[in-house]
Formats: sequence, C-alpha cells, structure tokens
Amino acid sequence: MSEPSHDQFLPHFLPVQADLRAFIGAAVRDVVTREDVFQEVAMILWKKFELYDPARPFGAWARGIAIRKIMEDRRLREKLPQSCTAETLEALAHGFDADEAEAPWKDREKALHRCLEQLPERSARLIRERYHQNHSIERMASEESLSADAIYQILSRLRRQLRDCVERRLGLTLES
Amino acid sequence: MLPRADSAEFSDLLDRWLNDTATAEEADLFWRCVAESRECALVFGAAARFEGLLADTVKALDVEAEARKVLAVPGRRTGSDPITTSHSQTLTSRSAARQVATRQPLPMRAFAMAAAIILLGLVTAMLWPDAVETPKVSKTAPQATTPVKPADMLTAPPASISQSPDALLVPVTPVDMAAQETRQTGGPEFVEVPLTTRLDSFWIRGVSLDNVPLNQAMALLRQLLVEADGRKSLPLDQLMVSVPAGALNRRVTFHSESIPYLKAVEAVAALAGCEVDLTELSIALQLMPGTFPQVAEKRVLADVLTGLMNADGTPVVMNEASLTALWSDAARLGIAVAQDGTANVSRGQMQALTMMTATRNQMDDVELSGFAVYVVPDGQLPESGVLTAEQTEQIRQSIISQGIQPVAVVVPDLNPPDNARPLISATVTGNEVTYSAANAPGVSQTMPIASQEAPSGLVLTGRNITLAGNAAQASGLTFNASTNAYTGTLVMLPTKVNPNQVVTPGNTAPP
Repeated sequence: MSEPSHDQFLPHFLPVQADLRAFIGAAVRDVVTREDVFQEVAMILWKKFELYDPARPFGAWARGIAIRKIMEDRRLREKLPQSCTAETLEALAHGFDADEAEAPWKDREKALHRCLEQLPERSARLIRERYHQNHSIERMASEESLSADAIYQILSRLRRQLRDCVERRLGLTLES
Repeated sequence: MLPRADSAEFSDLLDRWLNDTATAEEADLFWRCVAESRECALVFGAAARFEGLLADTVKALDVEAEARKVLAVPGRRTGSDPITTSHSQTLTSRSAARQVATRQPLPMRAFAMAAAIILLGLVTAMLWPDAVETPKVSKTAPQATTPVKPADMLTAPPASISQSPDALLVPVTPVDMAAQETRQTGGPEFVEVPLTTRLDSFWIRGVSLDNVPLNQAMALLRQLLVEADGRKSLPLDQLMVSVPAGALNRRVTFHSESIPYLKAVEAVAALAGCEVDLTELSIALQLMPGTFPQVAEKRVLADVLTGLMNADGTPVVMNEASLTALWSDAARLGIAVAQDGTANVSRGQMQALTMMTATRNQMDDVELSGFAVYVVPDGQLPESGVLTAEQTEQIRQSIISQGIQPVAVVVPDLNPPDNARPLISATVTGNEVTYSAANAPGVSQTMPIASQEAPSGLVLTGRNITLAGNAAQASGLTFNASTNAYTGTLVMLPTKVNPNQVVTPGNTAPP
C-alpha cells in the first residue's frame, strides 16, 4: 500500500499511544529507556503501517511490534527478569486487550481527573513526584523524611484508592 | 507454588514491581506468575494500564498548572497544586491550552499563548547548543545561555554579575527556583560558611557526560546538585555559574561515581580548558591560557598523588590501592597509561584526575559505622525496619543476655562498584549518608555525614539472606560461622568492632 494508507496512521496511532507507552513501561522500568523504546516502536509502526490489518485492533498490533522490539534488543532483554519472555509479554498483552475492552482509556482518563482532584495536597504531591517527575522511592523518602517502605506503602495505597475511585466513577457514569 | 492472582502475595509483588522496589527474586517470581496464570496477566495488565494512565494524566495536569503559574492565572480551585485543580474534561498536554481558551476568553487565551511559548521554548532549548557557533554573543542576551526550561526563562530572567569581559552568565537553574524563593532572605547558617565552600563537600550522584557541550554539562551538574539537595538546605537560587563564551561549545566527556559538586565542576571545567574562580556565591569559569584542545604531554600520572598522605602518615603515592584507583580514574578519562606509569595527558586532564583523586580521599574520610549481624529466634524482633535508638539498646542487651554470637561484622562500602546488592550499602548524597539493607527496600536510614550519632539497628525479617561470595567481599563481610545462608530474622546493630577482630556480643558496643 502507498501514501493513502499512511494518511490513516495518525488517527490510528494517537488514540493508542499512551496505552502503548504503558505497555512498554510495564516491562521496561527505566524511564529513559522506556521512552527510547517507545520512539523506536512508533517508528516501526509508521514504517510497517502498510502491513497492518485493519480488521485487527491497532493497539494489539502495536503491542505485538513492541514485544518483538523488546525481545530483539539484547541489552534490553538482559535487564528483564529471567522469567519475562516473549510468551510472558504476550500474556501481558492479552491482559491489556482484556482491560482495554472493559474500559476504554478515554473514559478512565476523565474519571481519573476527577479522582485526582479529591486527593489531599500531600498525596497529590507524592503522586506528581512519582509519575511526572519520575522520582525514585528512595529519593521521595529522603525528601519526605520517611522510610522508603513508608513511601512504598503510601504509593501503593494511593494507587489502589485512585483505581477504586475510577471504577466507582465509571460505574456511576454507566448507571446515570 | 506460585501465588494466586487474588492473593495478597501477588498484590505485594505487583506493587513492588510497579514501585521499582522488587528484588531480582521477587521480579522473577512476579513474571513467572504472569507467564503461567492468565488471571495474573489480567491483573497486571489492568494495573499497568492504570499506571500509564496515571502518569499521562498527572503530566497533562502539571503542564497546565505550570502555564498557570507563569501567567499567574488563578487556579480554578484554591492553591496552585496542579493535581488539585479541577477539570471539566480531559486535557492532554498539547490540547489543554487550546481547549480552555475557547471556553474562557481573556485569561485562557493568555494561557494558550503561554503554552505556545513553552513549546517554542522547548524547541529553542533543544536546538540551542548547535545554534551557538560564535563566541560573539551579547553578554545580556538571555538566550545565550545553557538551555533551561522555558518556565524558568519566564519566571527567572538571568541576573547579571560582573565577570570577565567574555563571560556569559549561565543561570543553570533548571528547577525549583520558585520553591526556594522563600529561602532567599538567607538565615545565618547560609552566611557563616560560603555557599561555594559548602559545595565542596556536597555530594551529587554519579555523573555521566558523553561529548556534551560545556554549557550543557554545567546545567546537568546543576540539575544533579538540585536533586541532591532534596531537603533544600542550600540557597541554590543565589548560586551563579558562568561560562566564558569561547568555551560554551567545547565538548566534554566525564564519568564519575558520587562526587562533591564543586569537584565535578572543576574536573569538567578543566577538561574543557577552563579554570574555576570562586567567590562566595559564584563559580566563574575562565579560559586557561593557550590553545584548545590542549596539547597532550608525556607526564608521570603518580604526580597527582604527590604530597598526599595516608591517615597513618605514609605517602599516598606508596599505596598500591591508591595507584590502582588512579589508573582506573585515568581510564575513565580515556587516558592510556604506559607500564612505566607515564601517559600523554593534557593539563586539563591532569587537573580532572587531581579532582577525582581528591574525591577518593574525601570518600575515605567519611566515617561509616560497622554493623554486627545476629540471627535471632523468630518472634523476638519487630518486622523488617529501622529500630529506634531505645529499641536498638534493648535488643543489644537482650542479645548479650542470651549469649547470641554475631555471625558477621559488616562495614559497608561507599557506592560499592561491583556489588549491586551488598548486605548493607552506604551512599552519600548531599551531606548525608544512607545505610540501606539489601532485600528490604524500606530498611534504610539517612543521617548527616558529620553526625556523631550512631545509626540505629536494622532488622530483616523472614528472608533468605546469603552471606557469601562476592557480596560478602564487597560488603567487607567477615564470617565466624561455617554456615553462610540464613533463614529467619537478622538484626544488624551498629558496632565499633572492626571486621577483622573477633566479635562477641559483649564487645559490639555502639561506636
């Protein structure tokens, strides 16, 4: 296929790019490396877009490419836990597929906005430091004068609270 | 047997993976669960998607909040915390300004313009180093500086100080200027010791610069300094760093473990053919006389160690370990050392080596506590964690009364180079040292380097801990037990006893 198919690339890619980044980030924990992989995968998707079968969800196709990219890179592979293989990533991709079917990203994003508003200021700051500024647990512990374990517990609890909040809101949205 | 998807154990493994605190064993177990259980993969998929969503949303909100701060547009809710501002609909970082502008005419348009300025600034900042091709740049031109975040360009225009004629001010203050504004009045603690003196013993994390223009290198060092000063104990908003225009684009390659900020600056400056001139609040780089790149000459590298003395009064140059460390530093700078100890080295490289050697000596001066390691019957100790001083003393007395012998004494290395998981590691950041226990991310204690206090005890509960192999060597571990794998509760109590001494409960008093 030629030019016209590439015209369709962005409408396919943009809605799934955050999801794709999350998928790569699930395995590749280093933020810089994760972004590099994402960029490379995006480039491959663009180049191989002609091979994309529109009958399949684009997100699933992109995740498949990402898996190959991760497993082909020896340095990346060496950093993964031994039990994280291509098959494991496939299993994770199925987990993404199932979750995607359950609640589209956009719906959750809206709900999450509302839930973030509800957070007390300190919790909001911790979330921002972790997820925007990519601070390590150790660094956050040092800044907050708390133990790393305490920060770990707080973040885990906050994630759970936010997820529960999103689920509740999605439930409410569906009912209303 | 692998944990089930709905078990607390899997939930804990998942949290540890997402918090980047999982040990290798935990990570391996976690991924085996994902591989072998569809339910685990589903749970992980949902959690990972949510993690991505969270990061994406928080970033989008922060971009908007940053733009609001720049224009002082009042938030839609009290406070300027970006996460607490409300939104009637989802905004991505790129579309936030545009969407808001259509709803609220005047201030929101201004907000949209700010976002556009930020984008423009980002592009400018990314492209800037290549664009500066000539040293003939106006002294006052703000864009002739190290790339800074656009927000900083708007909120904190570079102040001017009198420098040598060809010096350009580099307000390398990428973050936290606003946060530190309240400290600008300066308390007595900032006045007594000049800031630049304090920076000579203020440690930043490892530096890694590969062929980076000098102005960017200085900005990166500044960034590391700000990160190390997480407690905001330094008035960094007052610190001025200037780079001569003629050296802005000189490229530097420099790698180092933890190093005091000022020594890193001096080493990097030297590699770029600059000297450092210090005043109380400013670091001014000045061109070394002569051409650049500097001519390499054959020199005896051990000259760097001349005049330095060990604690026992012997010359450092006689110490084989110091010489080995010097060769290692030289190798990091890309210097090939001949068998007779000579090498072709430029003046700047020699000075950088001097700084790296001084850093090693400074590291040796950081007094670290030893820890006596005991295995105690289960149930006698709290969960993994850091004990209070009182608990430490109580447990010490209890151990003495029960006659429990320590199985080892550990003296942690600072930033052990080849042991990722020592039983206890010590790292220096800023002016603090942190003792961390392996296999238990929460078990760590941070205290000032110069503190006279002993650290408290650290407890590791219910984990398989092997005191063997490289880990033992790198941790400075000594055994006095034939068994070297333990299951149960380990408590590590601070001690003044040396690993080479015979240890008994009675002689492991606090340091």
